[in-house]
Amino acid sequence: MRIIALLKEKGVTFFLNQVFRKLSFFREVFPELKFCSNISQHVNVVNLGSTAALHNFAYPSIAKIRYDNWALPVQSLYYDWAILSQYGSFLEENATIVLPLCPFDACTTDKTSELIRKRYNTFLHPVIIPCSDNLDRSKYLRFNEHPIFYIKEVYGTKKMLFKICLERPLSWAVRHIKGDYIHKDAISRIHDWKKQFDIVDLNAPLSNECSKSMQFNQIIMKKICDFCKNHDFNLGVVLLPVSQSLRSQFPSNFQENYITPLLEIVKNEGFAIMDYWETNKFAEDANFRDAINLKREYAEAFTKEIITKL
Amino acid sequence: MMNDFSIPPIGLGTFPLRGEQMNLAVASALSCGYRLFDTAYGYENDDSLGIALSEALPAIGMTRKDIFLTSKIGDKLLNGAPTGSFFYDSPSCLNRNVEDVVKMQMESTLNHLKTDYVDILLIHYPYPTHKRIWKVFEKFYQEGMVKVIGVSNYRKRHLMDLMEDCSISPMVNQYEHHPLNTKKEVLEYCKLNHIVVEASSPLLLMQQPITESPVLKSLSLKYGKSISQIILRWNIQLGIIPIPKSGNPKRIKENLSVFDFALTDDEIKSIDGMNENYINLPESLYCPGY
Repeated sequence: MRIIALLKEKGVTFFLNQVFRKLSFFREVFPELKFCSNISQHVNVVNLGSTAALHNFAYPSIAKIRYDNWALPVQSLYYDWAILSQYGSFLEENATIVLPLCPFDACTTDKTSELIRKRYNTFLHPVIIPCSDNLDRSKYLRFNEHPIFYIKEVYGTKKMLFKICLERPLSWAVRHIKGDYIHKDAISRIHDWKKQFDIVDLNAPLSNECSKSMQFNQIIMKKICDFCKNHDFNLGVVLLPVSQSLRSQFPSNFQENYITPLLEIVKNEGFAIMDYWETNKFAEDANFRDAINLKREYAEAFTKEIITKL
Repeated sequence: MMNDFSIPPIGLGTFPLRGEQMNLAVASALSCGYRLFDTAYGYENDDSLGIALSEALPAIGMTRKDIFLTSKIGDKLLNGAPTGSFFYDSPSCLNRNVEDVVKMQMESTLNHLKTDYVDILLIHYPYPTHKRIWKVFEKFYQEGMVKVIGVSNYRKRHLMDLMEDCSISPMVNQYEHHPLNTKKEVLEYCKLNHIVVEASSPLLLMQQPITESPVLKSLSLKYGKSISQIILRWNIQLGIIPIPKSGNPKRIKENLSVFDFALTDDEIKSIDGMNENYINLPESLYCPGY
């Protein structure tokens, strides 16, 4: 009887986990799960990137082209390289890799919050995660298999889970209550970025800390270019469109200080650069759902244009 | 073969067999004629293979010299997932002295297999430190601890990189090869450089695209052979040594019964035509940057 009860329990557990993993809501809250199960092979076009890339790339259905969005929220260039390096075998020969750049990508490093670092342990090889701990890793790997039972163990307390789950609906609600949300969001983002990267004046040359991060990211960018060359992948670096409201917050020399040094690497390696930062295309506030994320229909149009260009 | 060392035309893959399953598989394989057995440090089953062989060989009046043992030097696994414990310049490495790790793994392999030499020693994946691993392999080869040295899961670019600096070229390359992934470029490069190719996962776990293939089904009907036998014969006629894994005595015997028929050139080409670059074990998951 005990064996039957155990089998039933295991069966129910398995069933619940399978259902849970497939829920679109769950996958939105834990987008890293796409790497843990059912990642497609023979991908022809893939984009990397952070939160903006996750929302701004919406692939239309194109016959004979397989695409995938490998962006994850709050991601540095270092982890773009790590994901590419670990999942390169899933790409078709001569695949196209779209690498989006956001305004402050040059200031980020491989150092991430504890919560995000835990996330990478669930699907990245420990050699590419700085400070990875194999003793902890089996715990994270169990999350892949049985997410419903290991959320708490991996991602902290139930309170944290509720926070994550409520973030999206709350931000959606805020957007729909406030009329000038895009403008306020732009100001708020600039404020947060300045605080995050300890920047006082965006007009001033890079701080020592940002200069160090820039050097680090230039090395990572070179690694990404080398990887693509060695594997005959077609790399395209895209400066993502931002809303007019956000664009107007940046001084005229911002791109030169914060973005151009990274682009120089790409240019020297002979890969394509597509600049939607300077052009006004897609930049109207009405096209955006917040200061940096395009509405679905514009994300589709933007993605289609990128694919066509590459 | 570059050093005139001939390898049996088919081998027994042993992952993930252990204990009684391994005993049964090895005894069955030896009795029906298998002479090549394949394991790896990362499989964590070489001790089981050593025990199985030490029991089965005397029982049929054979000795260590009558068989060929293949092992691979590589990363450590934890519940099937790579740990990055060896061969990376990373904080997760337990020991960054590549030479020491290769020697330690070789010593462990010899102890587990209860032997003083392995016939074929391979680098499991093209790790970032593979050139340093290869230097130790060359030494093992020169000292007679290994009869054949080679690599595993190498593409053309990895072979070219390794061969830039080596004194002894790789003699074997074992990689995933089956009708859905024929890797023509690597095969041609290996042939050009006299590198023997061994096929891992040659039967692709008999997944549906294989069992439902009209090409394979019709050949199976024509020759009165199973689909597995058609695929193994296709490998052999391409000059590739297949290493099918099975723990089932009936299938182990069946897999060896492939020398009493021959496919035509057109039939070989029709199986080649099934290629869709499908990968069962994506290499970059085990070796980032692959």
